[in-house]
Amino acid sequence: MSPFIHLPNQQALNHHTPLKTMRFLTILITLTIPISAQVYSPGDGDANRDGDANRDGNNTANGSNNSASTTVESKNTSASVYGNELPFVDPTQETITIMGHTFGLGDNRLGGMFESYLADSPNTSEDALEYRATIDSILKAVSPYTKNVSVPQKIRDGFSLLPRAATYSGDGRICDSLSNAIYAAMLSKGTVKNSKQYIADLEKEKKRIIAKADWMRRSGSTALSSNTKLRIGLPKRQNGDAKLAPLPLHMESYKIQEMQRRILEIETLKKTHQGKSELSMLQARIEYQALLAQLFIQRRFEHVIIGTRFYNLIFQDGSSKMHLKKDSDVNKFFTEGLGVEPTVTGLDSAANEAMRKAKSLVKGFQNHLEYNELHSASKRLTEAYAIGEFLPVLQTVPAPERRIVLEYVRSGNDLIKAMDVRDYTQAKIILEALKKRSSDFDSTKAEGAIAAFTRASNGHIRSAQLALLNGDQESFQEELKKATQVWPTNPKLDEIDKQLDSLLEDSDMVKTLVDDFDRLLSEDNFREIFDRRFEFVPVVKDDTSRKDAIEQIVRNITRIDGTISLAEVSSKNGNNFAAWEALAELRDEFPKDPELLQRLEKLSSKVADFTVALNRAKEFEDNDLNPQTGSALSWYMQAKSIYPSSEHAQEGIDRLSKRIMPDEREPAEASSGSPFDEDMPVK
Amino acid sequence: MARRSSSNSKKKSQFAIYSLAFVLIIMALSIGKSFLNQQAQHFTDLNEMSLADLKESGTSLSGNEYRISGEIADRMILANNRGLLVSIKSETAKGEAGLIPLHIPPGVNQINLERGHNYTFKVEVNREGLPVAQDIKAD
Repeated sequence: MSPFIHLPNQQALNHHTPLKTMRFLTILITLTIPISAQVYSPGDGDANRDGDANRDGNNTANGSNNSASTTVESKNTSASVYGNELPFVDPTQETITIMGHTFGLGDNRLGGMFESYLADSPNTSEDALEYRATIDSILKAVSPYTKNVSVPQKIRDGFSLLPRAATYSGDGRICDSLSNAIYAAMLSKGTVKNSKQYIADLEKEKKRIIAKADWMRRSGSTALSSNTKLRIGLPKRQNGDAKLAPLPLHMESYKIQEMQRRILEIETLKKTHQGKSELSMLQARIEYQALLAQLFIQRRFEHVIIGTRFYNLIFQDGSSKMHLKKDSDVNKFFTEGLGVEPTVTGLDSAANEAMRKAKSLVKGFQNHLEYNELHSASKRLTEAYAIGEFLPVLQTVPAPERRIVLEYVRSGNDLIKAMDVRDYTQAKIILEALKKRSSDFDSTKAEGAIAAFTRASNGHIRSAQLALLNGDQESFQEELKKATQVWPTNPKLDEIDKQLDSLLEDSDMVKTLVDDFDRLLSEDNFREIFDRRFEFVPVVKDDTSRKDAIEQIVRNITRIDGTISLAEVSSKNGNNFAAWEALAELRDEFPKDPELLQRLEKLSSKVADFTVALNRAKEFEDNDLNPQTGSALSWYMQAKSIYPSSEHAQEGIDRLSKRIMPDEREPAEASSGSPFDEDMPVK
Repeated sequence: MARRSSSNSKKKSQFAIYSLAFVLIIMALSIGKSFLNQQAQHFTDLNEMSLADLKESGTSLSGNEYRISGEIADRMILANNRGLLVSIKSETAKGEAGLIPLHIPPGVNQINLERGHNYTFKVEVNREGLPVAQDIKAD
């Protein structure tokens, strides 16, 4: 994975920023934000989505855990065709997208921190203002552009202000750390200075011994040896010419040997101290540079600049190369980002560029805000915050402006959460609100995702309904499962639930209705069956016997009611006999119909003589043991005299007339003629 | 005064004569009517059929001969040459009024039987209590 990040919009964003600096800044963000890129991508309804999510979560966690090895995700390649539809900050997925690249927030939890920052008040307290003034004073004191001040004085001036700056809580006592580093470096420098003096003294002593040895060799004088200490180190003219007074050979041997040994000792001591001083200075540099690197990583850019300026004042040997561990993140940051050896000067330049970039982004944020371009404004402010959250330009963003962005970001987060839990109804509401709130909010992808998933879910629901109609239980369950996975809160799922509840209720109701029908049928309560025919017909439609029964009942009751209606009309016209006869005819067919019997009973009181005559006639007619044709005919004729149009009476007469034998002595069966001949009334 | 008395007794005698004549005329008319009635009735040797008995139990009259007089209310030709079935609107001397069914077999003396006309029938009640005409006289 390449540590270089391609920035397609870098020229548009900053025409004057060199490519390397931009890469530098981007990698800086990379260093400050442990990476685990993950852009929200609504699942396709597959059941393995949870597994994917867990996998992603694990990756994120791994990214967090492996934050020591700084990496930058390549451009997001979401598996979803609807990927990248979400806002730039996705706190639920712990990612941030800057300049088309997605970075994991990891343990830094930038999303939450950014929201905290947005909810916080601008830091414009008196202490904060004093702190910033102090920082400015320090920067000015140690600035290379401050003229007519000696270097030690510059160090003293700047150093004296550091404790004051450290007293401010927002400083995080970084200035104290810086003071300690500077003090340690100064002590180291002083130690080296003393060491150098000692080495110089050793060198002087060595030269003196060498000079004495030379003199002794030349003079060869023993007298000299008695006063050696007095003459050693004196000019040649005072000690005399050694060549002129050579020492005796036996004495010269011990002295010279002793002097040679001492010269060697001095040389060894010198070398030892030279090594120690060099090591001490290197150690001081390394410790100081480590602090600078740490401050840079912490995005304490002002402190970095203060530190580098002190560094240049303390270590005036011109060497600013940073001694970083090979293959370390910080080393990679410089070597892979800039392609050069890391230097303190480079660190200073990068810090300055970061501060300038943050200012530029805040300015862009305010411009976007002016035109209600909340989406872009939020992006700019997030980028600025990610670069330098401790910079004054970020800390002094007014509260109302922060509040606007906060509400927008919260809405965006709500949208993400709604999409995450697949509550597309709520997501659509939030989306519409975001569109109204921000003029530059790009809703197309989110809308596309919502439309696609809602359509997919609805399609599954339709398939489930069809399966339900076809009685395909397996397909129904499968489609319902898919629909639920795609959109768990789909309102149409409630409709399915209602349908299923209704079916269950219907099942119980069907049994109850069938039982009711059978009971009423056994009781010959056809009227009740007729009255509840609209309940019974649907549930017995597949039962042939019950279906035939209810059809017959409905047909007969309809006929009875029709006759009753006609009888009512006749009765209203004063012809109660006709009304009674019409109903009485049905009584023979439906002797248990309560409505019919009730109507007949009412009419009977009005046509009592007529009905008595008919009844008596019928009694005599039906008396098979003692046939009373005469009596029966007499009554039928009386009935007919009451109601001449009586069909009952006429039919009775006709029936009885067929019982009349041609001759008293001949049986009726012996009568000749066609059995189909009818008796004919004579008018 | 004597004159006034002679006039009053003359008037009295005339009134008596007139009254007597009126009574005689009335008696003569009653006797004549009774005679005429006796002359118009047929089958007077038979009892008049009781409508009440017929309605209550015709078979109780089976085998008996009766006289039925009345107006033909309706008539029906029976198939298979079984004669006629008529209904006689009768009012007995006892004040019973009603319709009496009467079977006129084919062999009975044929006369024109018309609805609304009065006839007197000599009937015999058959075993099912139905009067069967034996003879018919138009009134």
